[in-house]
Amino acid sequence: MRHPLLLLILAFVVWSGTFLLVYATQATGCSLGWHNDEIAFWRSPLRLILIVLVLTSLVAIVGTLAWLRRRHKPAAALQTSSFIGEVKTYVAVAAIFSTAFCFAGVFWLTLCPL
Amino acid sequence: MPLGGCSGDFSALDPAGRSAASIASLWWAMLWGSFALFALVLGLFLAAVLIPRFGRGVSQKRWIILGGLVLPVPVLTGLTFYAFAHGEFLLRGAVSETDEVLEVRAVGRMWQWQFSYPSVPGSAVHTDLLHIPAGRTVEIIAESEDVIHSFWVPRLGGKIDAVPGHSNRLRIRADQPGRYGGICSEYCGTGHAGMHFEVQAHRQEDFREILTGGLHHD
Amino acid sequence: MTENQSIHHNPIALHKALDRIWGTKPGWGRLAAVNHNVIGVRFMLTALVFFAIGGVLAMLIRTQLASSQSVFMDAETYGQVFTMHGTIMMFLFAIPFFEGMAIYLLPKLLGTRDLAFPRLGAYGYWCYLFGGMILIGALLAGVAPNSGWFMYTPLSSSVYAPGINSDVWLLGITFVEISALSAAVEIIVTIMKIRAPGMSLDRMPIFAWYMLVVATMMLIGFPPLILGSILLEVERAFDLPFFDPTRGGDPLLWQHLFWLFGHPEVYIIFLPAAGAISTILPVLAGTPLAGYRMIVAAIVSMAFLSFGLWVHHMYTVGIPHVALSFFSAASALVAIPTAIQIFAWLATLAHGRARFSIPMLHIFGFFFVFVIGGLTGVMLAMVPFDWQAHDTHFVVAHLHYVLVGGFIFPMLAMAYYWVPHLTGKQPVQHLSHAAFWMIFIGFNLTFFFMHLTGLRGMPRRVFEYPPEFGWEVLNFVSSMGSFVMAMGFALIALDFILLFKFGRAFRRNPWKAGTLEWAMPTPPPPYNFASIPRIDCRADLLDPDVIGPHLAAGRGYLGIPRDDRMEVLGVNSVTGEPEQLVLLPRQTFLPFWTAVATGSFFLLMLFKFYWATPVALAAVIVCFCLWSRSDASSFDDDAVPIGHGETVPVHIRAESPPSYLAMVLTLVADTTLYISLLFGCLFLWISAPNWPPENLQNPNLWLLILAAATMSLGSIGSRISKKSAHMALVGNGLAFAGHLISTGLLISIAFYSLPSPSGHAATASLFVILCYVALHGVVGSIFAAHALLRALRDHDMSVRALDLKIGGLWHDYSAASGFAAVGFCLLLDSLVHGGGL
Repeated sequence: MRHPLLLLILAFVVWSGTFLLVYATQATGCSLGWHNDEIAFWRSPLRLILIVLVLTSLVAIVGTLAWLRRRHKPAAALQTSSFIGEVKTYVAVAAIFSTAFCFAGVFWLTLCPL
Repeated sequence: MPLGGCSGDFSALDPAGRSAASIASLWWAMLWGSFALFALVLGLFLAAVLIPRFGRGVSQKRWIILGGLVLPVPVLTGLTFYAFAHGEFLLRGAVSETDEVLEVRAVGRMWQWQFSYPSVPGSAVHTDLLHIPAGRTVEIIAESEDVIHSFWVPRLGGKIDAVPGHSNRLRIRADQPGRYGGICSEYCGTGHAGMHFEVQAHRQEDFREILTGGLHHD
Repeated sequence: MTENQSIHHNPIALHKALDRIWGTKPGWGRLAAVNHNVIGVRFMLTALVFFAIGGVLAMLIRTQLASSQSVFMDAETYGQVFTMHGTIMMFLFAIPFFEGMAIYLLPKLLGTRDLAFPRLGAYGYWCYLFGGMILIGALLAGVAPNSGWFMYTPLSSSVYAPGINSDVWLLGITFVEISALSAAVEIIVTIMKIRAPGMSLDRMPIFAWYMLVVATMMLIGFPPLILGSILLEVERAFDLPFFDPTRGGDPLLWQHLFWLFGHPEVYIIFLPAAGAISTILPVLAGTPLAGYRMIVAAIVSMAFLSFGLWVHHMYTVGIPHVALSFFSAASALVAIPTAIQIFAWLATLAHGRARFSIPMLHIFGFFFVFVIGGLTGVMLAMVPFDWQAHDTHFVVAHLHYVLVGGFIFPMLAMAYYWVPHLTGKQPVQHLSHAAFWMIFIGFNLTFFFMHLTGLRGMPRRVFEYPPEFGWEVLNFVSSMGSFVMAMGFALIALDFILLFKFGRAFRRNPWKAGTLEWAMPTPPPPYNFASIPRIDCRADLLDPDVIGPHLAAGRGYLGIPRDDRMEVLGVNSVTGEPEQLVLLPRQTFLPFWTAVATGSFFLLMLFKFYWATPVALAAVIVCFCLWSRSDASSFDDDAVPIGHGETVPVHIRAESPPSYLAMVLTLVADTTLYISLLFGCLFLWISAPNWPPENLQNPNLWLLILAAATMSLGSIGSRISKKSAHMALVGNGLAFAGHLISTGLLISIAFYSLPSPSGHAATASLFVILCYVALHGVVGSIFAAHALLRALRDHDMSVRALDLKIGGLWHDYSAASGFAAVGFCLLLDSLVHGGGL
């Protein structure tokens, strides 16, 4: 599974996984009553879980970028590998920004149906 | 009052309550912003095509970074996070403090709405006519007996779907007494087009009596 | 060898030899066509016929709405008309049209002779045509689908739609979607493997990048829709209550599955059009495309983001705000890759010298209309605004700005640009300007004020409105605009008819383009290139005027036809260096008959002859088994000369042949469907009312584990069989037996050990999961039987192991799906009985 195209999308694959996980956790948490709206909003266990999940995946994607950059060695022709390296970096940076942007709401927005 | 009293009374741009008013101002802000962005992009397109050597001083990479990142990222970030806060505001019923909320059950069925008031003892069930107090936030609990319908009073706030098996909540508010048009906005079969209803907002002191039939409300 | 000598460097002799091999035969032979030129044009022409039908329906809608309380149509007719307008435009026009365009263009841009799987393309076309005919037939018979093009349950369920209408949609569209999935596989494999030598990833024409991304999105995006359609059809036909809230189902499950497909779909439609612009615009500007690498990164990001915003169609169904925020943010974010592309095009224009030709006029139309659609899209992405605008005519206006701006105008630009290639004639250009302005003005007149109609409260899909609501003037303006637009489209049609009749011939490369499709005679011969070029720079910066004659004289690769074989080169997917000689199958009627068999299955389902459907399924399987026979497997050399002193193995002996990749991709789509199914069932546990079920008896767990274990015998057996000729018999026998036993076990659990699946959605879910795994067992046993027969017939299996490797993939996947089913049963059991975690 070392195909350059798979490495190219790796960071966004992590984003997709995060999306699935965060959305599923949020829905499951509401269904099982983890949000506990009796106490102050920031002490809700569901919110804490979601925040931890989001921060962890943010670290994971930044780690992915670092790993991609370190293991990048010109395998094919110079031009092809510079192309893949550059696009890979753009995509990973986009994925990092997307993760921070998409999931920022877990810090304060209403967690469960009223 | 003739039924035509609510003529043209479905305009989300003519808000009659805080929820709808705040959404309308969001719309106007986005509209003017969009005009500016549209003029910018189209202006650049026409200039690039029609004016020789236009924009050649700026490198291609700079073009893309300025227009593709520097321009949209702050605009979108600002708008999105404003909209998050705005959404929270609307979920609270467009009031900053948590004041008392009146609950109304709105049950959709092919092709009418039935409104009942669980917290008002002795209140009747009304068909296609919703009484609310003016100046107080009302929480609609939308439910359905058959297919999906959607409760919408454009001048008072957003809409909420009545999905069978679920009960969804929406807070609306009328600032002044009056009549407001309501409509089903999710396609629900051949009678969809005729599934209108009317909202009557009353002065707080009249409201309870109207509900319990003490005051004639025509 | 004298024949070869005469062909050598003689373009005319070479053309005759190749044309005899690659050309489609006349008469009934047309039904056997597999050539991408023929299939691509058929797709596009058929799609245009559907576009015309959809357009007429649009005119009916606008006529109805032009005045309040119009008596032109009643509510039922109107329901069918607007449902079919949306369905036809989305499923029968937009997707098939760009598929046809990709099928026609891709091999030419990639510098090769055909797509990787010509028969699959032909099969896809017939499925599309037959499926579309079912829908149009229903329209003519007055029983067309009538619940809106997104078919929300329960309005489309059997209780509220007892007629055949919804079945027509579910079965007809699923039939058509076979063509989308087969096109997706074919396009990906072609772009990855069948290119001109030397065309490394960074040298691919930008259109190939766009189509690679689009096809991958189709591979992931369509399975949820197909799953949803299957589940809803199963509910309608056999009363399994997936969407019925009274028995543990949930209408919202349908919405999630539909929009999980439905939103990526918008980008699936937009990206090919953007790819066409990225190809045409630099040519018209006379300068290379700016920001090639950034565009590639942008469209890859866009593809992912587009899968994270489907809930923006569902802001009003009662999903909590924090969950809405993920989708709202992703919907806003997706504007950034779009902006990157728009400014890359602007940068290209600024740095070039633009010619204001007819295609450029349509590109102007694209910029004008699409930018407005994008801006209203960002507005609708904002949750508070959407709560007002959702399901009103504002959304109708928005989606037409996006789709007409993002698809129709680019396609018109593309048509004016590439029709000379297709016909060998240049337009006369008397009507082109007038036609453009009529469409452009008519479109904006129709849809610009419709935003206001929506904000003034007019919901979608109403067939009448009281005059006092104040929507009449706006609607009248829209209707007038739409008639102007329709006349514009009629002028476009006339313009192209005139082009076909009176167009001027031209020599080569009329636009001075730098892409390979112009390095061939026009109209193109069926084999595209008499010999295959070697690429040494980015494939949109070439000089077709030099390359064309060079290739026509057979000076590239594969310049000498051999033994009537259809040969193309397979390359390394990264470097583009030749790896294998791919022998394509010749013209055959098999795709046609397979599609007829497939169609008979769908018709039997539609008319509720369920007892006869196994016969149709068996016919489909037999047809597909025949496909493998006519494979070119009799010829298997390890070192075939391909010209320029190079040799490569034939694909069946190569390291990574195209069909192996195709199997991997098929399994990716299959996995997506399975994961959607498992998540869908868990979603019911979270969201649906009337859970947990009163008596959820889990299926006999040990029996289920036994079934999964026997299923994995297939995987073990296929591994054993690789060891030696002797073990091949044992291994494949084991695999065959394992699959059969496992299938039997699963079916007995599903039908005898489970309580009635119509009682509750939980049981229905388990039932469908078991059936899914059992189906994989059936197919697995066919693969194993095929391998067993080969082991009995010839002993040396190691040489031509391609079909065995493909079977091995299937065995591994079915084993995994079996264990996933066991895991799911355990999970559901603990969730339901454990009262939570």
